[in-house]
Amino acid sequence: MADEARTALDDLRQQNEALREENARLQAVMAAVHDRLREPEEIIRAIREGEVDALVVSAQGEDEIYAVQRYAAVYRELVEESLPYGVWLADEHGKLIHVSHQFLEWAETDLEQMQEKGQFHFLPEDEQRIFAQRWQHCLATGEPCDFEYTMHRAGGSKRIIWTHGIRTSSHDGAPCWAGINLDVTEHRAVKEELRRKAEQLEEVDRRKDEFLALLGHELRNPLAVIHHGLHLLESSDCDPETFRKASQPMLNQMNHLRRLVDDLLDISRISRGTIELRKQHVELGTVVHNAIASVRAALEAEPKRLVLSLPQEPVFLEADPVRIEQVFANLLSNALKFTHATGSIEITATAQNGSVEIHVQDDGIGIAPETLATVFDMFVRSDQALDRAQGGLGIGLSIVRNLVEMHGGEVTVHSDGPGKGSDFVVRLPISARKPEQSPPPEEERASAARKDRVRVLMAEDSKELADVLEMVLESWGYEVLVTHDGPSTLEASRAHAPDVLLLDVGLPGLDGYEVARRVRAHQGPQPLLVAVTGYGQQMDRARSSAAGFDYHLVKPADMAELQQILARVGAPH
Amino acid sequence: MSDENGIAADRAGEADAQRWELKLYVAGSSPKCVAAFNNLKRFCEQHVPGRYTVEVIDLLKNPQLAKGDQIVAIPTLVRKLPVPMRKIIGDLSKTERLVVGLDLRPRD
Repeated sequence: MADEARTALDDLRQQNEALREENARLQAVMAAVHDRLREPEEIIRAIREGEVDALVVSAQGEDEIYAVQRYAAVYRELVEESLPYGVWLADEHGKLIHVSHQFLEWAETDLEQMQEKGQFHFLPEDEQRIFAQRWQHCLATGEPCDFEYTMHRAGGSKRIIWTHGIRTSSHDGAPCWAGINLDVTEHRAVKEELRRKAEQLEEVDRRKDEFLALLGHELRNPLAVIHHGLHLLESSDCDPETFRKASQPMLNQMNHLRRLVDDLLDISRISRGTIELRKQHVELGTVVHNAIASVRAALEAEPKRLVLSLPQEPVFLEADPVRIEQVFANLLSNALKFTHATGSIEITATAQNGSVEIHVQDDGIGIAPETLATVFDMFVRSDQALDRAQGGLGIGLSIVRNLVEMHGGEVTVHSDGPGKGSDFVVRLPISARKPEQSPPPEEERASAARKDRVRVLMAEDSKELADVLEMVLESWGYEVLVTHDGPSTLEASRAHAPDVLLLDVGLPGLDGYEVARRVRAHQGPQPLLVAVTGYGQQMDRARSSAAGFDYHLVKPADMAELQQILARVGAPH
Repeated sequence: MSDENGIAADRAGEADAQRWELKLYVAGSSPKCVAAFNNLKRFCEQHVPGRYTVEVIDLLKNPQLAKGDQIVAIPTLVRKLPVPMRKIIGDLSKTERLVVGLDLRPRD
């Protein structure tokens, strides 16, 4: 019994001992496991707390370092999304690591091809060589690369690509190359356009300088004629024959000067785009006849021949009669200028398919082929002057082209060369409107005023102009009062109750508009108000009309027009 | 565990006299690696001034060197001496963790 019990106790002891050993062993294992887990736990903690920025990864038996950069992917996406061709990366030896897929698609290639055949393999061979050399130079020196090339695509289109890259370090400090590919096709087109524009501007500037020199010359001749004529009048006893001989050239030159100033103003309005067309239903024949009439003096001065051939049926245009007449007058005076004294000019109009073609043809000095393209440009003059000096500022044809285009037409020129004559062709759309009865003539109120009793108050701050005009008006038989500023004009108007008030709008003290308003506001008989000004645009006319003016004359006032206006005034008090 | 604490305390005492041999595994000059180096230097100057060496190992240049000390995350600091070898992972920005990890104070 006792033995059995002892044996059992020993067994228990042994078992207990075995358990104790087992327990110790397990505890050791546990401790070892715990120890071994410490490092992975530490790694995980460090990663989670953002203390790590690279990991060692085994790939195909080799360790590689993977950089962990929080925003790298976001940056790349941003850049690649927002740039047309995105970015490229290369290692420090120039081996491409990354190229945006947009670029790859564009160049119809892939990264492997670019790595194998070179990153310019899609270019012609000679270009490949040049860029490869330049790239090698950059790699060797670390200088930024800056390449621009044209990529020809299969469809025949082409794009200009700008590649720019710099040597830099990746986030981990390793040297590398980073760059962008940009599609600069549009940019280059704009740049080219700007360059072209700058060239054009330079050309225009050059021509403008020539023009100013020419203008001085053009003004000098008429001034000389007037100057000498006046001397003659002053010195002679003014017998009627001398007077006539001296005054006619002066009047001619005066008209020439007026035309020059008109042309200058027109070209300035055209270049500022402020010219206004007052379109009407007009008949081509009337326009052409008026144009011929305007150059009659020059036409009759020499035995030139003018042949006119118009369509049988009248042709109607929607046009500003003054402007379209100017077109033909300019073409005609151009033709007159460049034909010999016995030359001939032909005007031929033919209507066809809703438009009319008017040829103004001459057998004059013609135009050299290299000049043909520019004859309509501003300030271009024919170099082939005739043996006599010909006036002209080189703006007439420019005005012609602009006016014709404003009327929806076009003007072209043809010449077989110097000495072969010129053929200017104006094409204008025919009005679709049915021809109307001729418009009612403007009301003619040419009254038989007894002008010797009409009283004119003239306000003009230029004393010399006032003196001359006073003499003219007196020579017409009017009674004339002259003032030189706003307040005295107003005073004189109230004191003398004139029938006509000729007002310079730029009066000192009180301008002409204000004088007009106050005169109109004044009770009592109202004078006829005529504005005389240097400003002749629609806006200026509207302004004087608003101030109460009845007429608006542009300096120098046309004498015939002034005479007509004055003739409309009734009998004086 | 109490035994270990005792040993650690003893070792800390030994460490006072011993040279420290440290290896810092980095990947180029990434921000965390630069931070780790600076933190380590400051720490050593404070606790073991004049008797430590730091070898900086750039795994970008020599990735194969990661094997020896079984480096997984970068930066990692390995203390070769005094034994036992100790590894601390991260930018070493928490001094408290360094003190414990390098047995300068008993672990918890």
